Amino acid sequence: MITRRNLVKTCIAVAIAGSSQLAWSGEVAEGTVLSAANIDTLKNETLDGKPIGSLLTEKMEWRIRHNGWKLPLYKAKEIPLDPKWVKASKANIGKAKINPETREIEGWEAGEPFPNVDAKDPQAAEKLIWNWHLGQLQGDVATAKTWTQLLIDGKKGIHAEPIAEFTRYSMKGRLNGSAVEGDGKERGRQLLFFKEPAEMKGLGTFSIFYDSAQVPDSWVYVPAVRRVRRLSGGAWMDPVGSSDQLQDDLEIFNARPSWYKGYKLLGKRWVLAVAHAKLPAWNPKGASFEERYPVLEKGEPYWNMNNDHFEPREVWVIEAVTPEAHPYSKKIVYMDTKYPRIHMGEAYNRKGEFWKFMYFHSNIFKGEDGFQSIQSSGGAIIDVLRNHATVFLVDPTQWFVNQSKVKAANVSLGQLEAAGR
Amino acid sequence: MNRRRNAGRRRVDILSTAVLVALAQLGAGSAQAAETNFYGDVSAALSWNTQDTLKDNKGFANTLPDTKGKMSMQRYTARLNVDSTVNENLSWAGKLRLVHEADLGYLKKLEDIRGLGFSGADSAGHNDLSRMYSWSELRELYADIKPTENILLRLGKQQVVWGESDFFQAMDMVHGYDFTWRSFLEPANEELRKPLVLANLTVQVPEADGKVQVLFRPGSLNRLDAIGNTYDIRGGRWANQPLKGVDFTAITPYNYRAEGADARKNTWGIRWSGLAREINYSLSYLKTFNPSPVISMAPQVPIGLIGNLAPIPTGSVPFNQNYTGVAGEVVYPKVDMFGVTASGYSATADAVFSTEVAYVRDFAYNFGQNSFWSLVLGGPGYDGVKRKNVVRSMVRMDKSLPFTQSLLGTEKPAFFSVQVFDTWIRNFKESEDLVQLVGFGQRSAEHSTLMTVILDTSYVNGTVNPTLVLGSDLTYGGGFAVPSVTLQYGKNWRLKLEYDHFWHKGARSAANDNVERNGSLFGYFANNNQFYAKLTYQF
Repeated sequence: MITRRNLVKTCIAVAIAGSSQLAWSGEVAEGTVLSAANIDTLKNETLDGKPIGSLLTEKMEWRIRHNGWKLPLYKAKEIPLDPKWVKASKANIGKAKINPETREIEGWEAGEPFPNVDAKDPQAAEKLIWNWHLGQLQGDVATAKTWTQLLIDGKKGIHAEPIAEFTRYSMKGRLNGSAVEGDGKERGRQLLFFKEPAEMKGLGTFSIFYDSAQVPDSWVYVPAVRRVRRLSGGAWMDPVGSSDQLQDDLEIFNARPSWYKGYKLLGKRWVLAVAHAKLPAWNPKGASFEERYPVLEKGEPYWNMNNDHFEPREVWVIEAVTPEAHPYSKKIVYMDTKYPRIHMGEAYNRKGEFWKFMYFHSNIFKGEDGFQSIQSSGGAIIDVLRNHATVFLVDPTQWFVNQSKVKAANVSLGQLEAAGR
Repeated sequence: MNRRRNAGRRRVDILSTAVLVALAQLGAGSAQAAETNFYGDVSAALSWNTQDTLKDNKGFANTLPDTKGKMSMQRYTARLNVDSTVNENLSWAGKLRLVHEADLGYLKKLEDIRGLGFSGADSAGHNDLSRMYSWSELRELYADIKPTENILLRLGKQQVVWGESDFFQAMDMVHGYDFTWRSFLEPANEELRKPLVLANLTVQVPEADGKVQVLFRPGSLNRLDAIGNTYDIRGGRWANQPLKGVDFTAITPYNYRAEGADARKNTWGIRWSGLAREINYSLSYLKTFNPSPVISMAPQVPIGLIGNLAPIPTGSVPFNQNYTGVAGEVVYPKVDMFGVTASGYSATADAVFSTEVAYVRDFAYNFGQNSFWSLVLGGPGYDGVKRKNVVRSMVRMDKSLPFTQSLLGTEKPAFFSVQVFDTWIRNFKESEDLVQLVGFGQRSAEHSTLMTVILDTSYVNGTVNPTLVLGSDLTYGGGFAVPSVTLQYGKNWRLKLEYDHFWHKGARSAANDNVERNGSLFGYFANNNQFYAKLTYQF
């Protein structure tokens, strides 16, 4: 029986316990590195006033404890959103909607289609994914002239380091000039080709993505036969080359939202993520491991981007329900609540086992026209079942956004062939 | 002539290397203004006979050893490449291939074969196959001039590829192939193509979603032997069965200056390629040379060849009345090619379908078995050259096979490709007695059809790549199976292991010479099964 006296005693005890807890825990200094060695201690301390334990998902904690992940901790900083993008996004309010039959978007022009998503909206998760798909702050055209895709064995280290160039060109949702280029059928184009090693030089793909459920048209240039060959459009669920990532895993989620069966909003929470990445993440001219891969930890398992700046970010947690033929049974993504950016993802195999952990680091890259784009500085797709990972890193001096000289004609099949010289 | 040719080659090697090194230094020296890349690889390619390759020669020639298990190739190759971007309007590239072949006992044996009609491989040259195969060259050296965004002019020695077909040539006739590098089995056909000095203008037409390409080959700026396909008719490692040890060029040398087959004449081509309704397509025309050589035999036996005191009519009609050798000559008549290609993805089949149709006007065939030369040299085809219009067509399906992930444990869906390639002789008349290849019994049918299949798989993050290639001659019988595995070790090392297995319906031998009627494509490879290994270090 709860008496008034007992209740008072209990309240006093709780208050004392709380005050001693507050007295014991504290705000960690910026630069403190969260690791397996101190996680039990630091979990009870705070970063930016938030308990560090609350900033870790179960899988993050597992990686810190068992997978050598270390997180240098920093306070959150504001992400300035480009005014053009904000204006374009606001213009979609009341206009953009999801067609319930086709599950395709209607009424969107540029920016993110749903700037104000209410968690109580039954379509909230799907709208957020559309925000990511159509509203990324990537610029009208973005080129990473030099980036690498490291293939890493958890025991032996890096065993492949191909170097490539990549351009993504928006045909819709453009923020400069007309929002649409061409006949309005295409959403965008992508050109990717390798520069190294010798056996891959010139090998590349060109893809046209459509602003509909139609699968992309893709071509590959094969240097050994000096010819372009059409690729299967149904390859969006297949691995990229021999890497650990599916086409669908590029930047964690790369599918047309309507190709998935559906989405569930699992909640809103805070996590540690890299939104102001330390640059450079990769220096192709570096001689030693430390100089060449400034954010990577040299020791096993070799794929941890431990030397970066992790800050608290509020995220939507969304479960994507995969189609039957997909290798994953589900994919969970952690998407920033302030702007369309997926910081982290988890993939589960058909048996329901945890299969892959993905995390991407990003930063602000100013375009030639002053556009404040958000681009990846690096990303990792870790296959925890095979103890193997694919890490891609970009030379930050070679990120180019909204270059006026780059036209749609420069991102074409002809350019793919020209790159194969 | 051959000595001169080989000496010329060596001069080319030295000159090529000097030019490339000088340009590379220029590129590196001007690195402030230019982005210059150096890359390449060194490799050792080895092969071993798994059959007695001289089995069917026995009876023609002197006592021959069993060559089963003998190493047939030990080739070292260095490929040195440089490309440099001077500015947005100008760039250039150079590709040098240095080759050294070891002087193997097996090659020496081929050089030493003597007998009726057998004078030893490369007897018209240096009687030295390792020297013949050690042919280094500057494969490419060209400048890319881009005066405007949509115009590219590529000038210099280069490779241009048209068409869609794997393994066979329909529209891919801009260049001849050098099958002495590796007959039929080389998947990287950039190694086989004989580069040409060309002016190659491409104009992008974005409004029409396509581009137009115009090629001009100045005959005077190219090597004479850069036209047509080169087969091992010198009796070497890749000579058709049972002609190892027979150097045909001793009595029927190449003639690149014959009327109607003159390599000094200019040739040209034009192609439009584009995208319409998500279908890639192209239309092309090419003035070029017959891809396969034909033999133009002398109309009379030269005095003294068989102890005769006066010329004896042979019954052969030489091509355009041309013949220069003791018995005749090998020529590549001029032809016209009109081609069309298309490829597209079918969501219904989840597969890519491709097709290619090339109409070749005046394709050259040898025919007949009535001349004196058939009696002396064996087999049909020596009566003369007939020109026919042919349609070479291909249909292919490429498909990813997801079930291989569960069935074979592949890390991603296997790549599967099935292709049917057909040659259709228009206005075909059986009485014309056209042959598939001079000296071999199989007569050409109206349709000659081949089917090929590729299954390409991947394991351990692409470090283990097993591949199976199968082929079948649907018209004349026979086929091949080539299982292989490519292994990657670290960033630089690659090892390919391959087994090449052929079967056939009929093959020529001493026992059936001049009688057999079914020695066709895969009969040429009779007794040529082999194991192949290639180790590559790339940089």
